[in-house]
Amino acid sequence: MEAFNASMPLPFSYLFTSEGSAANSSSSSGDPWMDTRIWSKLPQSLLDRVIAFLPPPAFFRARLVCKRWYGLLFSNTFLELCFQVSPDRHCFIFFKNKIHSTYIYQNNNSNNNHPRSSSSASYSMEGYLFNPYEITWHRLSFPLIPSGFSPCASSGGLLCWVSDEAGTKSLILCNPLVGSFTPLPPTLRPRLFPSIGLTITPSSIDVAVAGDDLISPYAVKNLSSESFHIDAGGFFSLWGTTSSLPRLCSLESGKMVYVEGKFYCMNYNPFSVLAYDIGSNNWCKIQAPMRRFLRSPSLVESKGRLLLVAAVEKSKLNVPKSLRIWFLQDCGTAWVEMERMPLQLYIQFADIEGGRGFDCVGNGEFVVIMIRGCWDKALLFDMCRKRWQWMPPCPFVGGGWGCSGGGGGGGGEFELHGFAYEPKLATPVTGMLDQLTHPLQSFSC
Amino acid sequence: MSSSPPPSSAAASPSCPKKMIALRSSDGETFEIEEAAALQSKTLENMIDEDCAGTPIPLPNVTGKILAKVVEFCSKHAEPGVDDESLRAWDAEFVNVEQATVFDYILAANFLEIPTLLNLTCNVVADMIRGKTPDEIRKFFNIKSIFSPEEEEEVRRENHWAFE
Repeated sequence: MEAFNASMPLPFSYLFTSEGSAANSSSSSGDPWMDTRIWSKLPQSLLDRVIAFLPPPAFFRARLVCKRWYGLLFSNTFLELCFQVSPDRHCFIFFKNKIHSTYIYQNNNSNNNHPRSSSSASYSMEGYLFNPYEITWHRLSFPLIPSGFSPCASSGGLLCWVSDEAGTKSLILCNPLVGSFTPLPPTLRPRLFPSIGLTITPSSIDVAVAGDDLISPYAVKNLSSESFHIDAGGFFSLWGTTSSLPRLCSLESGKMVYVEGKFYCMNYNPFSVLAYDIGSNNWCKIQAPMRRFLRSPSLVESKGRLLLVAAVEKSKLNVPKSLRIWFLQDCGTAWVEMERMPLQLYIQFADIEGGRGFDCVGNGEFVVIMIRGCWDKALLFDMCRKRWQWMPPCPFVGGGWGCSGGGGGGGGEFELHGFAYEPKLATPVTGMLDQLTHPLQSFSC
Repeated sequence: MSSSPPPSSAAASPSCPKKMIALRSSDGETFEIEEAAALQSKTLENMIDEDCAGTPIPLPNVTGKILAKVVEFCSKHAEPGVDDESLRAWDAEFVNVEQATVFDYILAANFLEIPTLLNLTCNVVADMIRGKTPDEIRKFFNIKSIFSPEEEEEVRRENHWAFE
């Protein structure tokens, strides 16, 4: 906070009466008229603070106002201010995911026809930012990400990309708003499509890479995990921390979710939840609720708790099908059901979903449920206000067939897969990674 | 920032009344505020530390009308047992006022160094401008743009995603 400025002008309360009584409410709804006689007197530093409260799209539009505002993105003072005052914005970022494995893909960044045999290869380096508060979409591009990389995790305003090629994995951290590019040292064990977990704080980076160990060039087995840690206190582990996965687990290259010191991911056939404790470098298995009756389970983090979202179908019992949300209790083994989709909505949802399955991502009080094979049908659930709504389809995604397109043609059928994303103008924690490539290590081993 | 924790008003013994701080506005009005509430303001915190005499602290930059509301704000935020949801609703009502008053709150919160009030009011202004075009924003804050048309075009292109 700045020191008191003795020459600050007197407040204006007694110098004029406000006009335009119809517009005298300064609440944010509607389009308020702003009195320039008042606001032109706002001191620069306080105006900077106002700008720090602008959500990212508005902030980037505001850079057009003048050179000073343009340059704020590069000002350490301003970024420090943002770090202090900017509220958490629980957003999402989605990417296209091709669902036809035989599609011949032409890479936008090069002129080569590049056959992709993996169904998880992405179209182009484009992501779609979704703001659940305003129900708006924005398109973000990633020009620096080379081809052969796919998004795999997000935390602390950074997106993590992983190399697609089988072998040791290269990871890149990227801040989508400013287009920064920070590689991590490569992992040590060859893998095919491992599950990747990421958690970032202002002073630490933790990454876990698990499963799909290549035990031979053509055989994978879920054997091990390796993790990466670096923090401002000087402690680091460059993938040297390894652990064995529980026997006979099946991660299916799923996403990992971070909650309070642990990474969690779904284990399939039969369903359970795997938990990796970062501190003790240890994996354990947690039984899933109603595990024999679950369909399309997903793990989601919300407000410091692990949630499991899944459809429940008890064919043998006379129980209506439903979509439910459980949270994991503090004991770490028992689940409590906390939400259920309203029955009418579930009927509508199941009708559209047609048994294809769905995936979920969550951030803060929001959960997004995306129907597989369908890029334009997704549900947004606000757990705080108990509100379910169909999301408007992403306007930047066109040319693909929506749900109605069924199995038609090889034209560009795809679906969207997403990550929780907290937009941040600056992510200085990546500076620690820059030190790793510097020959003079500044912290002790 | 003072490193000593604020004395809890609950620690006052029943026979001893809660410590009240007297404030004097620019137009000579006097207000009393509980110490716990006053400590929301770093400026007041420093003044209380320095001078424990009972004389009212003069605040030449804040009028009585605004100071009354600031005292109300600080008192509410020092109240124990208020849940987040209600406090947020109360805050929203508190800033549901004329623009001139919001402006006064900002300056007062800045002068008195009350982070909660300052952030709340700056957020209100941010909400006002977020839907505005760059030209409208320039008008409101009386900013002269010194981008040339080519430069402006370049900046617009660089940040195009925010305009789509």
